[in-house]
Amino acid sequence: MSITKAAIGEKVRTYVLQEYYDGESSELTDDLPLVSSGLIDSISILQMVEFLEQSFNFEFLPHEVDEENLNSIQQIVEFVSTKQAA
Amino acid sequence: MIDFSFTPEQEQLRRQIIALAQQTLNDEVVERDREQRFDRDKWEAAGQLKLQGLAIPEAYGGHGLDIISTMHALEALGYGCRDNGLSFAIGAHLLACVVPLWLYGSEDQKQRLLPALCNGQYIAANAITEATSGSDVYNMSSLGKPVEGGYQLSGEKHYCSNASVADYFLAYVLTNPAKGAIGGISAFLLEKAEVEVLPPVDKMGMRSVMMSALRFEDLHKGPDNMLGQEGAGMMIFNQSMIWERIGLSILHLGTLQRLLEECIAFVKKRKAFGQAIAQFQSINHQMADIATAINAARWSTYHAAWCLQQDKMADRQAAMVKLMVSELYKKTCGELLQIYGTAGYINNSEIERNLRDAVASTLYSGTSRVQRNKIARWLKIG
Repeated sequence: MSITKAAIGEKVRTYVLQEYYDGESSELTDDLPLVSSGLIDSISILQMVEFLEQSFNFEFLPHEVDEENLNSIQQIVEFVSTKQAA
Repeated sequence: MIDFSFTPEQEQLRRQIIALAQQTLNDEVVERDREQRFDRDKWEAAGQLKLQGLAIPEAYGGHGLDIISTMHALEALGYGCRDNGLSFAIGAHLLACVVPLWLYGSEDQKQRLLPALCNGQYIAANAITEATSGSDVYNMSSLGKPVEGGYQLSGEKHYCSNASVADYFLAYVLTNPAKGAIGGISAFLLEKAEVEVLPPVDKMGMRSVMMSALRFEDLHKGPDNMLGQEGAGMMIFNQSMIWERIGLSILHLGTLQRLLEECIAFVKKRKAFGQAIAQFQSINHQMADIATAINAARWSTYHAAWCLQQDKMADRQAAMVKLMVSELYKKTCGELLQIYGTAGYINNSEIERNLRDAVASTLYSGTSRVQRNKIARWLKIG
């Protein structure tokens, strides 16, 4: 059963707040850049990949670990939704 | 449930590899080290047992072993083969080049290249490090500029093991500099004739594996020469490093076990103050500590291999065992040299050569500091 985009977003947001974001939670907007801002780098992206694969039960293809798919909560939600629909 | 036993087939292959190494690979080790010489005949001899393709399915000309069996075979190579440079050359070829080609290559690439890479005919070299990148490995300047029909590659890679003897290179370049590591790096297969390989560098240890820089300029490569899809480079390299960190660790643990056994034989024979030095508690307790450390590291390494085999993210386990084993290798060689005394300090004694080789193990495949950085990140403190 696929999970709603809102539920994906909430889970990802909680994870980002817990693991990467030190600021006020109200300032973590869905379009805040995570990768291009340096908040997530080439080491911590692997943790994000593991979290997403385990939480939403899919596997990344190597080229899908891409800034275009992972640069914001909004982009992550869209990518996870697409993978779940596939 | 983890099963700690090895099968009769795994044990038989272990005996075969040790016999091959002892009978065929170990002569002139001192000379090869002194002259910094790679012996292609030895490489081809290792190909008789398809050591260069242990994990590759038989359909592609490999040995068809699962990951645990592959690690068991590499441990046997480390135990039997005294030429650490040759063992490392085989490990780097298999783990950082052949395995990613098998995992991410197209069917055409696999059928075309894997058989000759598995049987000792071809040699491959991984090319990612650059002159100014080092541990910050994705901070590269080599480019793969998208052009009509493919990419135009230009760049310079440094510290590439096997480079001067390689037939193929797995080279990582930036195909989208704006993205950088995460989606901006791609992996390409390059042929020997397409690159300029500089003379091998003079090294402290691992002197029988050839390490060189290479250059390529305005090299046009079509998508059929790309490994995986555009932007997949970081994940392909990361996965290859998980394999390499576990594989080289178990290789070194095989070597360490042999060095320990040889030192035990030495201390039982060597006499001082009227008795074998093995009788001195300071000596036999040191042996006990070394055996305990090797045992702990060995099973940690097999656990990391099991994680990789279960397709769990083995990244942190690989970093931990790589850090643990390479530091143990260096420390133990220093301790054993002290037991051998001046006889061990003489140039190209077994332990002196291993000490020089062991220092390299703390640098390649990610330095000890890089492994600690990764582990600290997983602990959420870095």
